[in-house]
Amino acid sequence: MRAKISVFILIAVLFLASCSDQKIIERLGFTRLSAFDSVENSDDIRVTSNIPKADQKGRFILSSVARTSKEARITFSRENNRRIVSGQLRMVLFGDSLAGKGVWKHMDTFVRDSAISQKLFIAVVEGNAGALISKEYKPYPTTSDYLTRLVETNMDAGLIPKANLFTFTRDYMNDGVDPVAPLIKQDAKSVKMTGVALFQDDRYVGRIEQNKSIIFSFLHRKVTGADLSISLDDGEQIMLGNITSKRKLKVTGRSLDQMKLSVHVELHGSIQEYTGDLDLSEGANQMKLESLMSDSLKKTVTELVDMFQRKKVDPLGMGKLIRNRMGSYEEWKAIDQRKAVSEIEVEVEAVVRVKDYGLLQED
Amino acid sequence: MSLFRKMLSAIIVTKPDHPNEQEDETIEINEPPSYEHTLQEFRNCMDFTERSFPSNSAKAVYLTTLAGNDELLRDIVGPFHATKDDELPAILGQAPYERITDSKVCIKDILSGKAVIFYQNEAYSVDIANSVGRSIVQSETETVIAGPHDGFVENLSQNLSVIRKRIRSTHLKIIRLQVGEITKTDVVVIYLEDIANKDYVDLLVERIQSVEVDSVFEANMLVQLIDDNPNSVFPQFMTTERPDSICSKILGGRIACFVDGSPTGISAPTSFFEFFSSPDDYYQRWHLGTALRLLRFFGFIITIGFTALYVSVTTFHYEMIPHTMLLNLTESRNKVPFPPLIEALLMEATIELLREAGARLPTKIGQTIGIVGGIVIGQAAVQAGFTSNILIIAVASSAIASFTIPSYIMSATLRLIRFGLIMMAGFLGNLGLLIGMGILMIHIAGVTNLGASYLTPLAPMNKKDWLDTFVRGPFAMLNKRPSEARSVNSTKQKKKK
Repeated sequence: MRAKISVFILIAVLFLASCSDQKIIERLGFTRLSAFDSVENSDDIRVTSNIPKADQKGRFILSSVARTSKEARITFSRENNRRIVSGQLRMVLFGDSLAGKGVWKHMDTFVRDSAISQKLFIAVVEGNAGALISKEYKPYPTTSDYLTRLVETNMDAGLIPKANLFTFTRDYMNDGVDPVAPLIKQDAKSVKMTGVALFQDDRYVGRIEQNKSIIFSFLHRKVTGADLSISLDDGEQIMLGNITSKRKLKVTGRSLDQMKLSVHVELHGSIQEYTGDLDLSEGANQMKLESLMSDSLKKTVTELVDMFQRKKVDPLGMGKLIRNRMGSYEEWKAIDQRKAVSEIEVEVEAVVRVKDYGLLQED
Repeated sequence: MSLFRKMLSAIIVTKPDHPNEQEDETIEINEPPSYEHTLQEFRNCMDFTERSFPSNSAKAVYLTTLAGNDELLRDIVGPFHATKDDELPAILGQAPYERITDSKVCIKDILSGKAVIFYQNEAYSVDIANSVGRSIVQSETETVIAGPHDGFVENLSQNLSVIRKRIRSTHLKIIRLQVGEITKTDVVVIYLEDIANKDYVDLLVERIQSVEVDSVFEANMLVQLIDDNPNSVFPQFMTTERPDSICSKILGGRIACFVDGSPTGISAPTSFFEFFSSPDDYYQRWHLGTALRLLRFFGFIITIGFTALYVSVTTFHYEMIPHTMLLNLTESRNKVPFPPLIEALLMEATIELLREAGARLPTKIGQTIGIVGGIVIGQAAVQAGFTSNILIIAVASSAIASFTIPSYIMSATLRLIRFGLIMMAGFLGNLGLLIGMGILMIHIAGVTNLGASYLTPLAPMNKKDWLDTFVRGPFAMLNKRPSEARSVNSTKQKKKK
C-alpha cells in the first residue's frame, strides 16, 4: 500500500511539476546576432536582433529602444509569434559611440544567463551596429553565418585578437589587464575587419590599425599558422608564412621606480615571397635578412607599446606583471595603477627566425 | 528490493519442508511393481503396449511412442522371442536389464521410454527409448561469423554430449534434478569440480529443488522461477544457445544448467556486462574483439538514450543543438502537430510494432514487413508531417543499436527501459534523463544473481577483470578466471615470462 502511494506521488510530481519551462523548438525564435547602439541624448539603447528564418533564406530584424537588452527581448516577443530566446546567440556588436560610454552594463546579462555560450563573439562596429546586422550581404546566404565565419577565420589567422565573452569578462574583471575586441566596419557590399578596439576597463578608447593588428596578436597571445607581410625600408616585400609566434613579457626590478618591462617576441616562419636583391641561398644573406625583419618587427612593437602607454590602456596585462612584482596587494592597491603602467620603462626585443627559404634556387 | 530479499530468504528457509525428491524415494518404501498395477496406471493410454511371447511367460510393457524400432528389436523381440522359460533368468541377469523393486520407479521408467519386463513376479527394465528431435543446427538468435556453427537442441542428452565432447575431463560433474510436479522435467546442473565454487553449486541446486510448479518447458522459464529479483526488468541469468559460450562459462568457474526440452543453456552467476560479449570477440584478433565490444557498449548508450535525448533537447534545451541543424530541425518540426514527447512515443511504438510483427511472422514475410515498415512508413510519416526526419534517424539508430547486443532478452529489456527514459526526458528534460539513468543505476547496483553482484567487476571494483569485460585483452594477459565466479582455482594459464 505504501509503495503504491509513493509511486502515485512520484507520477503526480512528474506530471504536475514539470513542463513549466518547456521551450519546444518550433515555437522559438533564435537570436543569432545582437547589436547595441546608443540613442542620442538618452541613456536608452537601441537593440537590434537578427533572427534567421527556419528555411535559412531570410531573417527577421527586430529593433527596439529599451533600457536593457532583456527588456528589448520582451518587446520583441510582443510583436513576434514566436518566443524570442537568446540561447543561440553567436555574436554581439556594439556601436562605437555606445562602446565609448562603456559596455559592461549591457554585457552583464550575457554572463548571467546560463543559456548563452561563453564562446559568444564580441566586436565593436565603426558606425551603426544595428545597420550592419540588418543588411543582407548578397553572395552570402545569411548575415549571421557570414559574420560569425568571418570572425572565426580571422581569429584563426591571427588577424584579430581572440575576443569572446569568456576572455572579455576575464580581462575586464582581472586587475591589471584590459579587454580588447575586433573592430569591424560595414562596407557597401561586405563587412571588413578594420583593426583592434582597445578598451580602458569597459570603455572603448583607442584602436590599432588593421596593418598592425597581426603584430598585436603576436604580442597578445601565441599564434600558429599566421602569415605576415613585411615591407622593408627600401621597398622590398617579404612574405613570412606559417608563422609560429612566441612571446614573453617580464618585469624586473624591486621597487616601482626601478621596474623595467622587457617584451620579447619571437617569430618562426618560412619565406614564401621575397622581392629584394639578396641571394638567399647564401648563409650570410640569410642572417642579414633575418636581422632586417627583426628590426622592422621591433619598430612596430615599440610603436604599439608606446601607444598603449600614451593612451593608458593595458591590453597586454603589463599591470598584472607589475602587481606580481609588488610586495603586497595593498601596496598595489595604493598606487595609481594606470600611471604605473604608462610610465614603466619598456625594452623591446624582437627575433625573427626563418625556417626555410623556399624552393627557389639562384646560382 | 528488500521485500524480494525477504521473500527469497523465506524460500530458502522453508526448504527443509520440501526435501529432495530423490531422497524422498530412498526413504519411502513402496510396493513392489506388479503387472496389474501397471496396466491400471496406464489405462486409456493409446500408445501403451503389452507384449507377450509365444515360447515363454514373460510380458513386456512399454510406450510405443517413445520406443525405437531398432532398440525394440535388439532388447525385447530378439532375446525373448524364441527363448524358453528356463533360459530367461540368464538373459535378464545381463547388463542392460535392471531389476526394479519399486512400483513408482517402474511407472517412471516406462514414462521415460524404458520397457519393463515382468517375469515370475519380478520386474526388469531396459532402455529402448528413441530420441525424437531435430539435428544440431546453428542457433538462429545468436549467430557468429567465425567459430563453431553448432547449437543446442531440445534433447537433453544430445546437449550433454556436445558439452562432454568439448570438455574431456572427469572434473566435469553433472547433477540431475527434476522440476515440474506433472511434467517431471529433467534439469541438469553442470560444473567443473575444483574450479567452480561449491557454494554457488549448492545454492543453485537448492533453488532448483525448491521450485514447485506443475510444469517447466524452457530454461528461460526456469530462471524466472529461481532468480533473486523476480520483479526486476533485467534478465539475471545469462542464457545462450551456443555450446562454445556455455563451455567457456563452465571453464570460467561458472555453473551451467539445462532443462530437458529446451535448447537454452543457463549460466550463473551472471554479471550485467556478460550480456555484451559474444563468442565472436574471442575468435577474432584481440584488437577487433575489443573494438566490437566497445561498439556494443556504445550501442547500449545509444539504444537507451538517443531518442530520449532528442525529446529533451527539442523540448527544453534548444541551446544544445548546433545552429545549422537547429534550423533544419525547426523546419521539419514545424509541420508536426504533436509535442516532441508524443511524437517520439508514437514512432517508438511503431518501430516496436514492426519488430513484433516481424518476429511473429515467417522469415520470408518478416523481411517484407521490414521493407514496408522501414521505407514506406518512415518516408511517408515525414512527408505527411507526422514526425520530423531527425526523429526517424534517432528512432531507427536506437533500434539498430539495440540489435548489436548479443542477448535478445537483454536487448528487449533495454528497449523497454528506453520508453521510461523518453517519458522522463519529455517531462523534465536533461534533468529527467539523468534522474532516469540514476534510478536505473541504483536498481542495477541492487540486483544480485545467486548473491553475486550484477555489476561485477564495476561494483565491487575489480580492475583485473576489466581486461576481459569492457575490452577483450590478448589471450596472453587473460590469466585469471572472472572474479565473480569466486573460483576455487582462479588461475587459467601460466603467466608468460
